[in-house]
Amino acid sequence: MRLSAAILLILASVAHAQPAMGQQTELPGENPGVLNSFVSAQGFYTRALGNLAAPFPSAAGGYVGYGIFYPDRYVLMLQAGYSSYRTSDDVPHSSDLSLSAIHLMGGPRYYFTTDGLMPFVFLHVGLNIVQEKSMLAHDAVDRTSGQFAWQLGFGLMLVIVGDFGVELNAKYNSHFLYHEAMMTGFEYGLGLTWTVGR
Amino acid sequence: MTSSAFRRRRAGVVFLFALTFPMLHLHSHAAVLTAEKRSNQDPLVSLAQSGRLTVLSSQVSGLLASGGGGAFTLHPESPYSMMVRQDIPADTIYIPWEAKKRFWVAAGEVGILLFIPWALARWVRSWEDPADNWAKVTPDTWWRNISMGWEYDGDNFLTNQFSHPFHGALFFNAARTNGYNFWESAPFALSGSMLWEYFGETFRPAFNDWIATGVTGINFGEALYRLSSMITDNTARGSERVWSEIGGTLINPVRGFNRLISGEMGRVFPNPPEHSPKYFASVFRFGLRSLDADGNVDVKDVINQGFVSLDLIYGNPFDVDLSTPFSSFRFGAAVALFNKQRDSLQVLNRVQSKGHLWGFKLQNDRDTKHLLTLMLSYDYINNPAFEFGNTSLAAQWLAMFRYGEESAFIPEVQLHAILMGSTPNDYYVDPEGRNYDFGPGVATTVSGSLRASGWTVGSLSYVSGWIWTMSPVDGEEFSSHHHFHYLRLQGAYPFSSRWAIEASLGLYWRESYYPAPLADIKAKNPIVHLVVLYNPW
Repeated sequence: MRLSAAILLILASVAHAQPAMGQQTELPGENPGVLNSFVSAQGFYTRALGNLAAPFPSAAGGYVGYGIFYPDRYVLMLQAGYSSYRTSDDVPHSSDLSLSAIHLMGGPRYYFTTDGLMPFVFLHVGLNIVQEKSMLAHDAVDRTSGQFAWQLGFGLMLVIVGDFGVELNAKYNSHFLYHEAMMTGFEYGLGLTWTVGR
Repeated sequence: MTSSAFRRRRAGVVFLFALTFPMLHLHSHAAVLTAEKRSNQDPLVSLAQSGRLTVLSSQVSGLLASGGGGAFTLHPESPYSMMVRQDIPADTIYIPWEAKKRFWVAAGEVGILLFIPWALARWVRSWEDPADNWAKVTPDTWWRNISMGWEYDGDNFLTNQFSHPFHGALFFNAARTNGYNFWESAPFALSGSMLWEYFGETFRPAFNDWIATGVTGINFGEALYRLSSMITDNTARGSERVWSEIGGTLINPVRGFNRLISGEMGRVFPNPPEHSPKYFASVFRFGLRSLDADGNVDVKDVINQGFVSLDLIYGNPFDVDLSTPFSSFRFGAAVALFNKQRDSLQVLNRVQSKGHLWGFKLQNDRDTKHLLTLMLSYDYINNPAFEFGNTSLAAQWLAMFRYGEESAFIPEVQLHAILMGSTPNDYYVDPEGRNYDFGPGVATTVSGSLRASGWTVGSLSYVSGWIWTMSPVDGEEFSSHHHFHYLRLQGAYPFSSRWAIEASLGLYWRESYYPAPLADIKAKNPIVHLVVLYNPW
């Protein structure tokens, strides 16, 4: 409920800020040869897929990130984040199971426009440090492991006022874990960006 | 000299002159344009302002009138933008096909490249058991693939490590020969491969295929793009032109297709810069190889093979702009001959392609040169002794110390991050034929070579690396790791500018570590080469 209220509040702020956008003259990427980098913070919700979804149907977490603009539509995005999976009540001894991950991701973004509403697509590649107490393998495991991870998605960035913006994104996760239980899922993110380096 | 011989020679000279003169004219003109581009002026505008560009097509006029965004969208960085001729009639000014980005043509060609192998498997290939037809995809198989995610597939070494990269090279060239540069073409290879893996097969998507098709496809694709640029001669006519188009199409079929639909196969126009690298070297090897196949210490399972190989160097790394990807690269391939092959899939012994993505020169004096690069590296080694596959990003230090006019010592160190390596697995055999294993890893290469009069007369190299794998054995997941080494000593004796003989001694050895109760394995495979070298350039 609180999450819904927060989303409504942000959307209302965005709608209120719309008239100011026409006066915005320095959006990221508009100054040729100048890198308009930004930092970001966002929360996300993940809907798990495949065999992972039975014991761990969803996850929530957050990222902090740093984006470096390259004229005039490309960004190199670096992100670090953490997520924790919810354990299904249908699984026996669910209170003994847990799955969480630290995400270290990076990759390119391409912005279709650099003015006002800025839709983009991206590919992130990186490493997950996964902590698990689970039955995903043949036997019960309690371990920490480093796993390859990648995400492919699209999003929308919107400058609200000054150097502040809001970002919405959706992505497909294909993170490695076990042959029969990869950490696949659809992830939905919402966050704020602050342009720096101008 | 007879009169007919004289006439033939004269005709040849005239023909060469007729070909050469306009090119010299263009070349000098391009130099003017280049100088003006360096001064940050639009070269077309400069020419028009100076009165030297006296004849303009309506299209070029449109470009000038609109300040560059007019009737057509010739990319300002296109090499062809430097090659507009002032002496050709207005209605014949020609903008080459590859000078303009053509997204929908590129995307359509990726679709065709996906459809052809899928359609052949779906409707043409005969299946002993129709249930095995992996091309019978449905929305259910798509959703299962999205939900389940990646796995390693069970295909043989040739399919996974060579056929997939070639398919990726075609995806890459769908964009590269439709106006996109190296970096812009890379997503076409990666996304083409991903579409195939998720939606073209009933199997779960194979991660090793995505790396091989996507990443190695980029490597392979740019090498083939540049080599086909060398072979295809836009200025040639007659039978020379026919053979040039056939050769270029064989190396790069997508480019051949685009030249066919654009009419460029029959058009005379300037060549792109990739056609004439400042430096190009090639060497053929014909010879014998003797190796121990089973890796035991007693060296009883010796196999003798004949082989022929070709190795190319495109661009001198000390002399090119290292910010341009693959302005210098090495490419080589070897085929086994005249041996009792135990496995027909091992006829193609070796394919290697290594090109830089970016780099800079630390020192560039006449006698001492150092450079650092980030490389894209691909190895396909498949012989009776061992298999080795590698798709990696590598940091490279390369140096040259000149001694005298024609001698130099060239040391090199490479540090590889192996995105996908493949190595023998002593316990894993997949029903589909895979008897090797996949995984990420790290490796290092250290080498030193002596060059004299254009030949590598002596070299010593050592490769060492680790690959971590995770294929299941008997249904149980386990991790194994493999430490591999290759040491090689080579010497050559040139007896003319074109011919030399060469001998080399090599030793491949590995230690493979498996979880209990499986025993660890150590293997050693000595390899001896004795070959004749031919340098056609």
